[in-house]
Amino acid sequence: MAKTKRKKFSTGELLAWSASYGIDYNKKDMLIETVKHGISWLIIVTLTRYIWWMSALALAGGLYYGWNIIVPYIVRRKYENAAFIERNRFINNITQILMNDSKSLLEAVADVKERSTGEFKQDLTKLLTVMMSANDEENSRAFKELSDKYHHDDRFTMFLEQLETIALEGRTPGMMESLKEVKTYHNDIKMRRMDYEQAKKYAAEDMRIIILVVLIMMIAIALGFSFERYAYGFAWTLLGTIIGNLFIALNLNSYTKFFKYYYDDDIMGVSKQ
Amino acid sequence: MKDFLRNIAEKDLYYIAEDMGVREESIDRFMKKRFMTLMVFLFLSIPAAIFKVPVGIGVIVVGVFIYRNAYTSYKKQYEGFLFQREFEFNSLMKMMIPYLKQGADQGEEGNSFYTVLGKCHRRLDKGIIKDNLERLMVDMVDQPNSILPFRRFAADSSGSDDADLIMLTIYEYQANSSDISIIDELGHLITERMMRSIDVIIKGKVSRFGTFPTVVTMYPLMIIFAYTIGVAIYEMAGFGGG
Repeated sequence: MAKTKRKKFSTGELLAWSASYGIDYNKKDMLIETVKHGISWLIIVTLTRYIWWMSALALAGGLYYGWNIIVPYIVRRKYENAAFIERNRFINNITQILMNDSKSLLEAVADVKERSTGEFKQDLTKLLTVMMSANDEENSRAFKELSDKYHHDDRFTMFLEQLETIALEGRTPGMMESLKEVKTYHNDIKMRRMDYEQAKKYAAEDMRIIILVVLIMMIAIALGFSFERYAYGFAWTLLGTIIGNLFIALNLNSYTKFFKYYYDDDIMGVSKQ
Repeated sequence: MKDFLRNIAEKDLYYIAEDMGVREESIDRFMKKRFMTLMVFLFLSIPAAIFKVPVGIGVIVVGVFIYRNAYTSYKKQYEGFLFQREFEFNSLMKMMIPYLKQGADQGEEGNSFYTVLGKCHRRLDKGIIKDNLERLMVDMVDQPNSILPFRRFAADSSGSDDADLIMLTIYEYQANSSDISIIDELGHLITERMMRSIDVIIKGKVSRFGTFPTVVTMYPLMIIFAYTIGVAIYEMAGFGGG
């Protein structure tokens, strides 16, 4: 049963998931998230039209949306955050260790590998194995493979390039300086990611309040005079169908757009997806 | 006809298209479509005005709005394009720096720069920068020791002055094998640009959220309005007996 449900994620996410970073996002959390969206859609439609089959459709739609769109967004976010932290830790630690002349690059990578987890640890293990065979060409290829895998994190790839040069040529003070620079750049990215996430959290808080207000408004409208007046005078009339459905469509549009923006974590570019 | 359309087009429309690498014929077709749509609306406004004057005016307004909107959305596309191009250009610059440093450390000159470009080209995603880079490499072979390919690359890949400056510096560096601190400077310059562009992205993405509260509060007003009308009708119908 678990397997059928997982098929709904993209293969990339599935693979990442299975190489798990020990993420504690289990099925129960996924279901809760899905239900939250189902109920939201249900509320929007019900409070406007009070037509039972529309409400049923809304619930189904919301559940579908929650499961197939929001949950993958969340999985992706958790995965990318975990992966980024791993890379960041790698960069910081390696730079630290290499400043101390007594350890070789090989030893440094081995040490840091132990502190990693999940998919990245596997990546490092692979790299380490190749490095130990002391074949320059294979070394380069291994580094390139790792770079390509994380090509979207260009400061990480820069760092790898520096490492590769060090592997080939040994350490010079100049190289160490560049290494430290790249480390700073990567940490800058980390900071900006966190700032961005925080800003989005604030925006979400604002939305929560607005939605609460709108909810109360809608209930007041429907029950203000008398429900009978609302239903027969509006919700179930032609006017209600046109305006009410328009209202629902607009709200759902804003709803989906909001979450799309909310789960867009990419600070390196403006993706069109 | 074509000349007429080009004359009435917004001043920068053709410039935008050229910058994006869109062919003139495409824009001519775009203008034609827009114009025709506008004509249709103007035409329809006449019977509409006969029916009810405000409706006729409304039709004209909608037509003009659509006409204008085609331009503004195209311009928006252009801004997105500019931004993406700028970002890719910065990425390329960032890519090149470690290679150049490496080259200097190992004391290579001249032709290894070509190899560097090749390496970068392989790593780039498909896009306008990649194409421009190809062109640069071809031009370098055709016109050895000429500064023109570099400047052309700067102009095509980013209209900005510091892009020109960067490419000039790079040319100097590879032509005269000067010292590495220039490359360091360049590196810093480029990182600054990248950081700034990231901040711009973040700012843009955060500001997107600003529209939601206003818009979401507006929608219920629509309901209130419609509801008031609906209830009024309902009540009156009750009194009037249907």
